[in-house]
Amino acid sequence: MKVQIKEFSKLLSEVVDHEIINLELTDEPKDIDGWDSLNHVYLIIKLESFYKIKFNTSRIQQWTCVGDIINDINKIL
Amino acid sequence: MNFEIHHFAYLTENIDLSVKEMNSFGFELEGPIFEISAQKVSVCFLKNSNNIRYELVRPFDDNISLKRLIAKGVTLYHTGYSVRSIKESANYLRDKGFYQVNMFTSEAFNGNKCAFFISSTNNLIELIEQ
Repeated sequence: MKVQIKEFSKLLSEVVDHEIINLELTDEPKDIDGWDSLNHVYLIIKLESFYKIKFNTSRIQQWTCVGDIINDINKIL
Repeated sequence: MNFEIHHFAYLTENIDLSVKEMNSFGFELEGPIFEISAQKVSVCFLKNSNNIRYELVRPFDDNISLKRLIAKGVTLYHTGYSVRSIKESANYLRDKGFYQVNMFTSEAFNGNKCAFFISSTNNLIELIEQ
């Protein structure tokens, strides 16, 4: 299964509580309204629950943009 | 590992009004209102005769996460614990499945280190290094 940005965008929208239009792989937390440190952790929990995966903490610390997260999910799946 | 409860934190849009409300059931202000820039909040502490302490937390206008919690009707939102070592406690909590949200120094605790952690069941806790 390959995670698509559209599906990721929907999950992120649920976390930040507003619809995100045209999310890009290069988008970073600072580019998205409401994507702060607390919501970042809520996103991790949501992704782990949705995809039934467990992220490696050291990998999480290396994420800088949406593409990094999606790549990590796809590597785990 | 010893986690001593330091406070229960309440969100409010109006600290003065909340202080008055808490005065009415025996809680007294412990000190000034602090602005914690790293967390984009103003806070103050109140304690009663049973040594129960509350932290009132007013988010700055650009603190979207906490403003949204208030909008959803969430007020009581985290528990603060005093710990001897943030580092040791953080390792312990991570082993227990908690996620670290951040680490910062707080004007409300003489510049001591603090950190927030959250569990997969949304149990949000703050550690305050003594």
